[in-house]
Amino acid sequence: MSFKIIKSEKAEQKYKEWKVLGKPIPCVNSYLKVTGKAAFTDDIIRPNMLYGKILRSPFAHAKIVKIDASEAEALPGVSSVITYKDVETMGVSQKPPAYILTDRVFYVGDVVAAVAAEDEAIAEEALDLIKVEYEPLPFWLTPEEASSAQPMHPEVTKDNIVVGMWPPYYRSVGDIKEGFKGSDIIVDVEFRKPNIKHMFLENFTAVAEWRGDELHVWSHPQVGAVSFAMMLASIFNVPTNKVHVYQCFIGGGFGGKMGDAPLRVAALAAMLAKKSGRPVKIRTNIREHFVEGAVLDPGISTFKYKIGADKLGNLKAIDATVWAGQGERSINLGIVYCGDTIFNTYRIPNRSFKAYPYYTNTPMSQALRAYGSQAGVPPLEEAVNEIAEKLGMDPVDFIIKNGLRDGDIVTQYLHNDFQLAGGSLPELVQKAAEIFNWKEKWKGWSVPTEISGSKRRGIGLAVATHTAWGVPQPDRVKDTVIIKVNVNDGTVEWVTDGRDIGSGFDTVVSQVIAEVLGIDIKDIIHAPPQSVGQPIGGWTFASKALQSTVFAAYNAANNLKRNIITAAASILNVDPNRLVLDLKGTRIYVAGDPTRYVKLSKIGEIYGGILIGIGSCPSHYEGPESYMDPVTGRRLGMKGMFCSFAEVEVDIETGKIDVIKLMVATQPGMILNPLMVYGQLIGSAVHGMGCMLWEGIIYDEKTGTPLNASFIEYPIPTALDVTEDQFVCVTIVDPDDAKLTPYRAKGIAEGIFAAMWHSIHMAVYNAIGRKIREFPLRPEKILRALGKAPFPQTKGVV
Amino acid sequence: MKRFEHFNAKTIDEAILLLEKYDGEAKVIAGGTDLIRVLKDDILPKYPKAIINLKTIANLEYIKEENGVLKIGSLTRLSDVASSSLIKTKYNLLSEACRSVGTPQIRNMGTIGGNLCQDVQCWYYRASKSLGKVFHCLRKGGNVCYAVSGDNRFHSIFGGKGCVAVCPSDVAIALTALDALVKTKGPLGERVFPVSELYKDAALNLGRSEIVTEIQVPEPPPEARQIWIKFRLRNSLDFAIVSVAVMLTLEEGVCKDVRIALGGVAPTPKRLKEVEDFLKGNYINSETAEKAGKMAVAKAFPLSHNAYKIPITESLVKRVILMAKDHRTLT
Ligand SMILES: Cc1cc2nc3c(=O)[nH]c(=O)nc-3n(C[C@H](O)[C@H](O)[C@H](O)COP(=O)(O)OP(=O)(O)OC[C@H]3O[C@@H](n4cnc5c(N)ncnc54)[C@H](O)[C@@H]3O)c2cc1C
Repeated sequence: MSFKIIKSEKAEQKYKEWKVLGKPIPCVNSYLKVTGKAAFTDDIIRPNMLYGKILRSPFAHAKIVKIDASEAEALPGVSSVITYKDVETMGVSQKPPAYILTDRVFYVGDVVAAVAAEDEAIAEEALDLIKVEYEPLPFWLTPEEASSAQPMHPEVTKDNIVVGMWPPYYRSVGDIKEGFKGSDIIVDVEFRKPNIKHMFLENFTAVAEWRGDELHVWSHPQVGAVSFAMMLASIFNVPTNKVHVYQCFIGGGFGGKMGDAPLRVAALAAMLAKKSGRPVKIRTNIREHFVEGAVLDPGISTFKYKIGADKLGNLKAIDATVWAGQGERSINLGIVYCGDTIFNTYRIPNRSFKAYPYYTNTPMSQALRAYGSQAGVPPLEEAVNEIAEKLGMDPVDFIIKNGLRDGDIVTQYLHNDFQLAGGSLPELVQKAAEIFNWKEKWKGWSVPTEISGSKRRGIGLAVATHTAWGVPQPDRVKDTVIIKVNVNDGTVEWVTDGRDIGSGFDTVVSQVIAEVLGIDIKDIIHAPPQSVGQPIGGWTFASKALQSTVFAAYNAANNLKRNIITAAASILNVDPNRLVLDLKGTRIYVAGDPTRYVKLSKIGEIYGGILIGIGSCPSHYEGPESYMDPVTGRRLGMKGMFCSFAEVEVDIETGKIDVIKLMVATQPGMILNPLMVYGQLIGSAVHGMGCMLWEGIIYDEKTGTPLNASFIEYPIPTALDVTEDQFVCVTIVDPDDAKLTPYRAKGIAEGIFAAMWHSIHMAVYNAIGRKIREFPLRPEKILRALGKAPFPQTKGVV
Repeated sequence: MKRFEHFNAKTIDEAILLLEKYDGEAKVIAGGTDLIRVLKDDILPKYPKAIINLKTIANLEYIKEENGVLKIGSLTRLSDVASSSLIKTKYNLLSEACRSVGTPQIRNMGTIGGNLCQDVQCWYYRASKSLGKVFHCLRKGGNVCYAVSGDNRFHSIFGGKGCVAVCPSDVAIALTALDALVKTKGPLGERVFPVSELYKDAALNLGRSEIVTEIQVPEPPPEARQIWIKFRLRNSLDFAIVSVAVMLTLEEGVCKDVRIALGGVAPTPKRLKEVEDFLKGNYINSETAEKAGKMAVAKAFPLSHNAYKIPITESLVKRVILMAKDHRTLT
């Protein structure tokens, strides 16, 4: 492995000031996790607990004409069966199109019924005894088919355009007609992508228990426990303070454990528990992961991009349209954020973006390692590459000429524009290209860098920008952190409404608190989130923890420290600036004179026996004055800047692609924990590699069944597929690249994915000289492109 | 998984007796790496009433040489076969094929007998009840092979009698090139027959109550060169898209003897007799190797999605022959 951290002088200075931050501290939960002691949802066992199993639809689209569960109910050991008929009787409020149980099924594997029994074996046997009569309806998988199909949800819309928060969506800046008029060269690119799965290791699991009218739920949502409780409260029509959600350790999420799938499994468990009068656990398996869980938003998509530039290579205009199969429902954030990619990667004065999200008969689409930017990158880069190639320009030079940079205006979907504060693609690419030795390796477009027998090597690069401090959040998910100090021994606990999904959240927030309070990270714990009695906020998504949770923790720790010091100063009658907080020693003493001190317990008494600090994070748009550029008067904002380089070797006889070298580079601001940054960069990059080379759901076109629904058939990269010595991480560390966070750090884990997958795509093109305008680049596609074997265009694109 | 009876058999005969008693409604279990998946996915037309554990039978886990024949007990783990120094030295093809199976965990649990008897990987056959859709295909007693008119990119390019799923076992391919035999025991007594004959149309060529007890491999001539090559998506773990096993004996550059077996392309391990006949007596060079590659696929008739296997097979056969000639191993 090679992890290059290139620090500016300012960065060196900051590192010197820090005691805990910036240090390679291992994940605080790693010991519990590797010894199997961490309690995941499946570890929860309640007294008298039953096990639930779900009956799923064999049809991609059908109406349930008749359903008879009497035989299943009669099977010894079965406690209860629920079907759509129970929904009403249970007082569960249902609003289309987010069904938990209904008399229609919208994709293969949709929920038809559920059983609770003494054990899973009995529950499974009972599923076979439920008699269902379906009336199959026409189904469709692609946006093309959807556009001419009958409406899937006629009760809410007359066509198949997804009704969600955002209807067919159009946005433009400048005047594309003028832009194309002023272009010397115009290219049209069409690109397709498949449905991609999250593939985390922990399958959807929930335990539910009713205690009178109180609902207790153990689950692993990526949304906070309080938000999850609110969702359950609205489903079951009970007060939120009667819904106790215990957020267990999360075995991976990548966006797939945001609300919907964990919610449906938890709701089914709660419905069964209610009907049975006993606790119920449902744990789904890997097959169900494919039909319960979401796919990347946008789903199966077709992108048509038209782009123009002048002779000198200045981009002039882009006209981009995306058609996507969004599944049975979607909030469409991914498809519209493809627009943000188009708007905020290159400086293109005239831009237009249109999105057509369609209902299709697959599970819903949702964030996967971020919303939008990844899916938007390959078609954009493909279009930009084609322009550069036609002009005979080296892609590095092209990015240096056109890339987004510090001070540029970022156009955001749903939110006000802002001025970019720090980070610059041209600078990043220039430095990274030197490290990769690009200029020496590059032989021109579609020219292999090396040929040996049937093997062709090629290099490629791509850039991406991505939100690096979360999406500006509505008030209800504003982050709050509460810190409590135990006065007897000075140990610290903190709580927020969110949990580590593997990105190092617990560790980095603990580091921040340790830094402010001057204690060892070992003396801090993150209290497991639990909805009742806890603040709201803190979802772990959208690369936001470094900004908003860290900000809240920073404020909470400083508030706490200030309160303690102020009280101590008045007791000791000294200037507060002279006091030292010594939590470990359970005292506050006068600097240089440790004999003059106050015990922590004394301070505790002053505050009514308890020492807590509360802090929250200001939303981006109500932030302090420092969020304004003093010169332009414009509001400032941040973006992650990413670039990726790839060297691949393609065997033109077999279509096999071997990755030779991967390099990623970013400007993360300050690195708060190099272990986390390295882990996140490599994880994100390898994820992107897997998607470009192999991943994607393969459907049986006659039935709409996902065929490769398991870890054996859906190939994700393992540690052997890209080894550490093939991998280079470059970080260019400067606090000015992340001016708007307390510790000058920004999120890095989502955007690299996007850059990585296209850099491989470009490298393959340069190796074989054939454009394959879709992915994954499996051997069958490579050999088809080389004219060596036919392969049909599949609906699933894979 | 659903409920079943579980028996720990003490002897082969006891296991056979139990199988007889359940009359087709029991399954034997060795490492369980495949059977447990089959049970969890609930793909068998009839869920077995009983599972009979073979691991409790003594003396079925061994690797030994007797009278120029390598004998491997059917319960021997794949990791032990892969790491045996005897096998590495004399039967390297087998060692390499075993090492290319699955992951270390699978090889530590999976047995050589279980590998040969594992169920096919066809994704129509394997579609799980827990996913909603089950395909009652030809292999399950239905009338149709769904792969023929569906997505068949991993299926046979050499046809099949109805079912076009390919033989999933890497070990079987290597053993076929080694001319190995399989020994079984059933109610009618013992049988010994070539490994390649263990596979027939849409089923295993085993009686309901027949158990594989031993694998027998004749000692190859010491000068024979053995090469295993497995083409798959990932280098880490995947079933073969195409695999080739070759055993080549040269005398001054001329092929004295050769055996080539293909995997991943047909319902059974496919011996390339015509190619072997062509090579025998010929110089091995890039021309003859190339011709061999072409001959290997001359009779292929691809389905809608798997024509890409043809150039891959052609190229691998050519390479494997040249690698054997040059004494090169896998790159
Ligand atoms: C992730 C994964 C990857 C894999 N990759 C590969 C691969 O690359 N190449 C490959 O070849 N295989 C691969 N496999 C299959 C694996 O090799 C087999 O699962 C394993 O070898 C089976 O051995 P076992 O002892 O666990 O058999 P079991 O699972 O116990 O049994 C498998 C079947 O054989 C029957 N059986 C077992 N022993 C006998 C016997 N002595 N006589 C008669 N019938 C018997 C059982 O009834 C059952 O039907 C993979 C499996 C997994 C899970």
